[in-house]
Order: sequence, then C-alpha cells, then structure tokens
Amino acid sequence: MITGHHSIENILQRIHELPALPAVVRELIQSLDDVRVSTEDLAAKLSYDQAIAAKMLRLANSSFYGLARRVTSIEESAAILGLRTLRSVAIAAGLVNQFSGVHCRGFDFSAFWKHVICTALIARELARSIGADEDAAFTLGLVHDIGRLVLVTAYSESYSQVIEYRAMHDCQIYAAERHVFGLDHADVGARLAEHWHFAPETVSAIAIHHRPPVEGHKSLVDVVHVADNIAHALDLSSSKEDMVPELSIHAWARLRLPSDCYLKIFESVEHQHDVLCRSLLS
Amino acid sequence: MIKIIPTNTDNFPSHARLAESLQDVNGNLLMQEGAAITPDILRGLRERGIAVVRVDVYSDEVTTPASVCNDIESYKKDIEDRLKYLFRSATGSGQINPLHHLVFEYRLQGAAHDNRSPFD
Repeated sequence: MITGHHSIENILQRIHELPALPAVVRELIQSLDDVRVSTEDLAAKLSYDQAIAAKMLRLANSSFYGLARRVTSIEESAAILGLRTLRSVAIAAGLVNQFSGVHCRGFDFSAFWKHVICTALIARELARSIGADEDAAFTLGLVHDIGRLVLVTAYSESYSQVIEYRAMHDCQIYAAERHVFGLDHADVGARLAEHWHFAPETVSAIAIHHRPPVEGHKSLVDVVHVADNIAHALDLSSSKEDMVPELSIHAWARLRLPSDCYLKIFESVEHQHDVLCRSLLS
Repeated sequence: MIKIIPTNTDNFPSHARLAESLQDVNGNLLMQEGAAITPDILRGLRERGIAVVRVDVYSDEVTTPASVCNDIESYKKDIEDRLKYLFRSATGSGQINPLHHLVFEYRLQGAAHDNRSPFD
C-alpha cells in the first residue's frame, strides 16, 4: 500500500484541487428535480458550450433518429432529443469533456466510458421498470465510477500500479485500489460528488454501489448496483479482462423484475449504447 | 410440462427452466423462476444441499441442417466460454449469479433472431 506516500487525507484533499464541474453541467444536474425547466431553456444554456453542443448535434443527426435532413442548431437538436435525453446526454458529454486529455499507462479510457454509458442506460431502464426517477438513475450510472477518474487524474503513476496488481492477481479493480491506495474508487467518487454538490442520495449511492444494504426498501443504490453488474455481463466495453463484480442477491431480489423484463432491457440498451457511444466518444 | 429432477443427474431435459424460485434456508433468493437449467446450475444447487428441483420442460427446437447445428454449437461454446470468464469471480466464490444464465439466454436468442449470420 502506498498510503505512506499519499495519505488517505491527501488523496481526499486532492479532490478539492480538481477543476470544478463546468457550470452548465452543474446546472443540468441541479435542474434534475426542477419541473419548471423547459427544453428551450436547456438548449439556450447548452449553446454556450461548444463541445457539448457538438455532441448533441451528432446524436440528433445519428441514424437512431433517422432524419432525412441535417440538424444544424442546438435548438433543433433539443426539439428532436426531448428534455430528458437532452439533459442526460449533455451531462454525459460534459463529464467526458471534463476528463479528456488525461493519460495513465494501462488505463483504457474508451472502455471506461463505454462501461459507464452502458450502466447509465441500464439504470434508466431499470428505474423506469420499477417506477423510480429515470433521470437520477441515468446520472448515477454515469458517475458511479467517477472515483476511478479522480485517482487516474491525480495519481496516474500509482494507478498504473493498480492496473498491474489487478492483472497479476486477477481480482476486482476495487480490491487492487484498496491494496495500492488504502481506499477505493467508491470512497473517492462519493467525496467528489459531495464536492460537486450532488444530491445526498447520489453521494451515498456512489459510496455503496458495490455493497448495497442487506435490508431496506428498493432504491437507486439497488438500481445502480444491478445496472453495473449487467453492464459488465453484457460485455460492451470491449475490455478483454473484464470481470463481473459480486452481485448482491438482496438488491436483485428487491427489484423483483421478471426475466423477460431483463431480456428486453438488454436488447434496448445494446442498440442505444452503440448510438450514444458514437456520438459522445468520437 | 412440470417435472421434478434430482440435482445429481447428468441426464436432465435439454430445454428446462426452473418452475419456481429457489431460496436458501435463510430465505435469500438463490435463483428466480424461469432461469434456464444447465449442468453448472445443477452442480451449484447440489453443492448447496438442494437435492431436487421442479422444472418446466419445454421444446422450441426447430429442424436445422447439420452444418448450421455445428456452427450454432460452436457459437454457443464461444458464448459459454466468454461468460464463464466474465463471471469467474462469482463462480470462484460459489455464488450463483442469475445474470450469467440470463445473458447466455439473451445471446442465444440474439443469434436466432439476427438476420445476419453471427458466424461470418
């Protein structure tokens, strides 16, 4: 463990030195609960962020929407995508941009983003199936592993040791992180979410997404935990050494979804995942 | 057709699903109703002290040329191998992850429904 070199306090302190979340993304996240926000309001805000606006245009022009003509304005994209998709995808685009340009030996950024986008899409479908907040579930899916990016950004050399340790011991990534740092991406991600003023439920769900409670009612923690498992199992991240984490049978049982519901979700998500990754990651 | 089969048999129906959810002695869900029955599943249940299970035997087999059958078997084997690798942590710790068999079923359905040959 290298905590003598980087104490846990130091690691957590570094979170505060990371760049703040872009204002537009912060506003989008904070607007999740605000029913007064309109598609037009969001489009106007997004038009000021060229990188996000470009990704929205790419998505609206994708084969998924099958338009005969080319969409050229963010306002038009907003009308096509709708409020929910616009907001969710803009948050994803903002996060992808926030961590672009970071390098770490052995860390596959493309596989990372493919995994979190898949988790977000599945979380949204699961939330819809159980009557939970779809947008909150999508956002939680996007940020559930954000702690990995913090560690990669702030300690890229040490994170390479995590990747080597994991390869050598064929263990879960969080076990390798604990070995090297003395804490894992869930701890760090929760602190970052707190720093970024995410809702307390999101902070807590990030912290325990690998170990949902044994008892209690179904919640977004169960949704993101099962979504994370499914995302690994569907194998869409193109990561050869991927490993499905341990599934909490309690979280699984609390969702109480029938097999055919899962099969439909798998099919729907695979198609959406391809389109969304092309728009956000290219 | 509902049948009761022992978990220590190698001679179980090839198209069978669990007819009712299974729970352990503490009431924790082990497997959900409808999960496909495979040799690995039966072995896992046997190791947990479950002697028999109620299964729903069905048949949706279609007549298929032998060469296609070979391709399908090979495709099925590839899927099985990849899923075994992805779920190695659960398998190693003796956990039965219901997703393992759901994703397997989904991949096989996909191959059957896809107009393009998955074997090209």
